[in-house]
Amino acid sequence: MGGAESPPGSYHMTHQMDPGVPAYISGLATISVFGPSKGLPSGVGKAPARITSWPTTGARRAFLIEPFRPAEVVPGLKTRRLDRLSTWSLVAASLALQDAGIDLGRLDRSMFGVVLGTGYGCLELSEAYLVNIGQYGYAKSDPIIFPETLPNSPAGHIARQFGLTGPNLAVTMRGISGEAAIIHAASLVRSGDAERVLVVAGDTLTRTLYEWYEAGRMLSPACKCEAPGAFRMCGEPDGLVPGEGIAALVLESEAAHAARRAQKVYARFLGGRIGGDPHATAAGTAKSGRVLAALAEQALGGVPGATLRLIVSSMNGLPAHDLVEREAISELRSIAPGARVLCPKSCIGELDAGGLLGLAAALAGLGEAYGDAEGAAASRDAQAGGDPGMTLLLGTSAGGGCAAVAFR
Amino acid sequence: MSTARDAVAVTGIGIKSPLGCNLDAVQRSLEECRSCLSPLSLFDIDIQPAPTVCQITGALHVQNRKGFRYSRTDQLAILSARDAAGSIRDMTQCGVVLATTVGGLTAVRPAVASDPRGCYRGGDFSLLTSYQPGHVTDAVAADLGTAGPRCALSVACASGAIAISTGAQMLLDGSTSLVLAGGSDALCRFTLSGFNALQALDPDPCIPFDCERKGLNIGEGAAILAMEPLPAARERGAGVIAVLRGWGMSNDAYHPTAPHEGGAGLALCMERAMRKAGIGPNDVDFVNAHGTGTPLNDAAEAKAYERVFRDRREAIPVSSTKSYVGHNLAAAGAIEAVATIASLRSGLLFPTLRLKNPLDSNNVDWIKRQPRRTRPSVGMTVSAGFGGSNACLIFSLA
Repeated sequence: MGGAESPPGSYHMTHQMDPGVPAYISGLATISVFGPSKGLPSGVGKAPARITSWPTTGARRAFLIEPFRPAEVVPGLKTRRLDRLSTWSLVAASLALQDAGIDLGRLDRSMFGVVLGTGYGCLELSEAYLVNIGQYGYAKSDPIIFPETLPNSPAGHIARQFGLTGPNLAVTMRGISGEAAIIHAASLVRSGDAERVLVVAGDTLTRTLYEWYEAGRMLSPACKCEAPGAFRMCGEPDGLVPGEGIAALVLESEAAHAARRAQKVYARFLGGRIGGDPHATAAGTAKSGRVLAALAEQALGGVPGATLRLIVSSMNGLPAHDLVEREAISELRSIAPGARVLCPKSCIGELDAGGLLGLAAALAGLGEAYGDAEGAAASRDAQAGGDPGMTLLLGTSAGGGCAAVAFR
Repeated sequence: MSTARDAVAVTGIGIKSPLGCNLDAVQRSLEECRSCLSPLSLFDIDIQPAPTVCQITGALHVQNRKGFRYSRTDQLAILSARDAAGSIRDMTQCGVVLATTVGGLTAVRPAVASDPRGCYRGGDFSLLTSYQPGHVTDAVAADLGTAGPRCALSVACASGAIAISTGAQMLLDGSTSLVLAGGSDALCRFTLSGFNALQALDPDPCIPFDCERKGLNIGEGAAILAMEPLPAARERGAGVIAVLRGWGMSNDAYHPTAPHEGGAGLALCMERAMRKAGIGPNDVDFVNAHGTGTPLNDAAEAKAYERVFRDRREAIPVSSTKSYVGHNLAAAGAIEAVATIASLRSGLLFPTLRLKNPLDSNNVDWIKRQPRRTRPSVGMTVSAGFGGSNACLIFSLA
């Protein structure tokens, strides 16, 4: 048997990727400290909020999502029994689709994929399941919770909610999960495996994670301050402020975008690169900014650095982490002296899969500016002249992972 | 028809499984129809009777690298990755794409959820550095000394096949010229408890596709493929073990845990993989099935095969490797990819063990009792998982 429809030993592969096929971000939504938002988030930087969800001695602060009723944001949306990550994923995905003006009834949903980026997955439910085991033993655990603890659960809920039968996966690349998610989504679009992808990236903050940061002495003094002001970290970094949230965006091929005569485009995905420093430890970052800078240059793909207007940094307040980013930015400044650098984690906090949320915040002008005012002024002047230029998203992770994604 | 320009060569295989720790050993075990299922003895758990599992009983000799505290999942992955890398001299820009669902859960005590601070002070802090699924990828990349692209995936039981698909895609889009891709999952109390709660475990060795099937057995292991573009592999004179000709992914969009009753999602990913490979149903010589042994999965899967192969001239031969090694979760798709390659290499179709009374399905030839010599040239392997994700890989010999 075999070879009846094609000669044995011959290969006809239709999946060679055309690197020139553009992918557009045509819809965007976020759930952050600024609340649920269709399109770019808006608001002014807030001080970290006091944690009341679990018992603490003294003040414990973080950038938290205020509870909201999903059905009030997306009428008719049913999220009963879902954890916050899945609930936020559904709300953000719904808002992003609305923002893109997508009518799912008119599209081929078998070519619509979902890529979720998350560092910790459904951590709340994993904790709940462990508590349940602690109470009743391994033999009598809760069958409802268990399957929902899997990191890809939110991606499955999105597929089911909207009938999306395209490729569906969860990328769990620790601190660069958001960046990795959009890079792999773009690969699916460019290879023709999907015409459109909902890219969703985020994490929730739980007690085990907060106390993990605390035990590792990673928290900024701002986390324990009784009356903190806005969190600033670009001077002398002294620790992170944990955060939580999610971003969803619609990525579609140029052809798919044109076919539905869509107008809105936030950005065009130019390229992305992921790499790592093999000398990093499990909890440490890359040993220098060289790896990140090299990835950034590759992501820019030879486009003149002069057109780089905005660098979105993943600086989070941890000295070693921020040093990597600072070194990379310093190298990039040599090719893009006019680029403005924003650090959105100063207002959304540290979350592993926070890359896309940070991108959205920075595109809205949110986040502490790092570096010289000259760059910011040059960037504003260029934008006033009608050239939005390019944006570069940087990601640095524990374990040595680094990522850079370029957009126009 | 184009030539092999865009094909992906498998040039190395690393596997850690009771089935064998290299391709030859795996092939021998399959030829001997050796079941690796036995009552759990690796650790204590309060589930009675002791679940039937597939467990690696010998010690895993992996020294912690400075700055790392390896979980059992990490160890399995590292050992497999070293073997997959084999004789490749320059690993510096090699990509690493690994899938896991268990990750460092093996080290988690239930008490950490109710008293995290106390547990961290008591020594769990360093153990839990391996908790995140992405840690496995970082640990392997550090062990091999690679600075190339990394990706960690967690897509339930479709993870391993999706990791291989993603690795192949990275080769084609130029992200890297060499990639290690696969999956690793260790046995752990958390997952055994979960599947027990779902009443999905067969207390005896499972019998996929049998009318009397009662459920699945959990297994542990890892499998990682070294892959590179076929022309590049030939140019450097690498031994090409097999060729990955096509892959496809889909989602059922149907139910959190149950597959689509008609197998629509599975059928879609199989059709996509065949389209990508440029072949049709008559070109596929056998299917290495997902075949868990659960009533719902196997029925849906059978429907999917009926749907995809309905116009095939002869019934499609199908069998399940899980009757040998149980369900290896995120490693399942990768281990079954190795079993598929072993089948192509040996010229044998391996049976589903213990299968006596198979499902009544049109145009499906359930392989049972003993290996069948047919000299297959193209093999398909299929995976599915909670959350509705499906994946299909198509291999041939070089």
